Amino acid sequence: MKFPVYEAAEEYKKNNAANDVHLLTEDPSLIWVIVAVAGAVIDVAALTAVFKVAKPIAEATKAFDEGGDILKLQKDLAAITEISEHVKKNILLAAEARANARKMFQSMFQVDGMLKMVILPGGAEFAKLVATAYYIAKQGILNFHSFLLELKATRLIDDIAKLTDEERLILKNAFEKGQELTKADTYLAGEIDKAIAEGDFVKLEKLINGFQDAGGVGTYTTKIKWGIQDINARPFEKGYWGKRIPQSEPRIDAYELKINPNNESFYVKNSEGSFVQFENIVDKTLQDGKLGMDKSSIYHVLDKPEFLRIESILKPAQRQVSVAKEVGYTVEWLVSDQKAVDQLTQYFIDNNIGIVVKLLLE
Amino acid sequence: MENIVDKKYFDKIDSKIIDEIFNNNSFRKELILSNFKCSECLRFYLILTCGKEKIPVLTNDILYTSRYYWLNLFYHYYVREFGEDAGIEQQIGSLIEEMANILPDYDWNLLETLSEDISKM
Repeated sequence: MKFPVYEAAEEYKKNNAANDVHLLTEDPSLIWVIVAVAGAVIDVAALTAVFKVAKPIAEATKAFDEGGDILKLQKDLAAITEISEHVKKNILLAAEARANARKMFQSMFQVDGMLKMVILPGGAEFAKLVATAYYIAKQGILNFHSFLLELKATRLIDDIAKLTDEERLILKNAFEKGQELTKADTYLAGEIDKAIAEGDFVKLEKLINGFQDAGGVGTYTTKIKWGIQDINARPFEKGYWGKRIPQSEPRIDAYELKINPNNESFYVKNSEGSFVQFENIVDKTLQDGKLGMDKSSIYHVLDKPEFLRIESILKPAQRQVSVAKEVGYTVEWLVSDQKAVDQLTQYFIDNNIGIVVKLLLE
Repeated sequence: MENIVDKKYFDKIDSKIIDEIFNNNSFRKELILSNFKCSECLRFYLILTCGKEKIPVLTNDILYTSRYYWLNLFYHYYVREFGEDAGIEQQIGSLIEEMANILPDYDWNLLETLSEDISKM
């Protein structure tokens, strides 16, 4: 929570004899509203505004909990002019997540009327459980015990105390996967929401299992923006593997594939939020390939005019070193001829660029 | 500016070809299709880059100089609107590398002058 709502509520009650704060803060079924409010307010003034209209907020959210009508909730919240749009938006987002979690619960009940804990990791029902955990986490419920309480409240499990170690492990695993999913980007989140809205649980399973298997080459779970291009990507350590953009020159294309036969590039985000691309990463070394096409290769840098040296060697090198430093990696250039290795090495020494240059023949 | 195709050149290109270029690739649609000042420059760059077999013939000198000009001008306006982007800078660097490979005898003073002109816009 960004702000201690309950403490502030007590303080508010002390200072305001006539108040309805308890309607909001003491109803266990409205914990999700408190969590949503806490995520939105940044100061006492904003929170006081919420407490002043605790009753209509409690009524609106309670009605939503009973009827599940998000449009009505939106209308009810719109009528409460005392609270900020940001608070309203957070409540609506939490309500949406709650509605989706409910849909997931219902889909699990449809299996055989009552879950009997026959969920196998990786299977369709497990994917549903992960999606349930995902939506519960999106409501701001971030600890495992609260997750179990939610499952119990919806009768998905009978008795928390009677769970076997194996059952508990499966649930814990699903809970953790659901939490991880909240860190996925909006693209994946949108796809999950869409699959649930359409009741497409086969797609849901693929999305969730795809996310879990995000170590796999060619299994992309997100999109990143590299310059003017959208790249299908998957998170890996401090960056992303993304589908490689083919080179129009076949020799350069083949050289890049020699460096990374998986047909992927590696992207690292810099502190300004944009991505820098590399051909590969090995351990903590980012690799970039440089193929000289003829005897007057651009990488014979000391023979080139200053403009070319700066624009095609110095600036790109500085950019790469800078982003690598930010994430604790080093940079290595793999170059196709010895003269280029020698000249680039000298040029980097002269310009204090921390890139190691190695020979990799075509 | 000689060696660069101007806006009138793009008027001659069939809009179907342009739609095809914009829709069948992984370029960021929100940049291509918006009304930002930079977007028009990006569209011109993409037409020259992805549609070179379908547009009126250009020499390699003019084609590459024009690609460089429109991509650089796009980035010039982009920075004003959104701030710097390392990825676009890398893509401009890659274009120069490609030019060095395709046009070994190219007069780099021309690109330097273009770059200076754009920075004054």
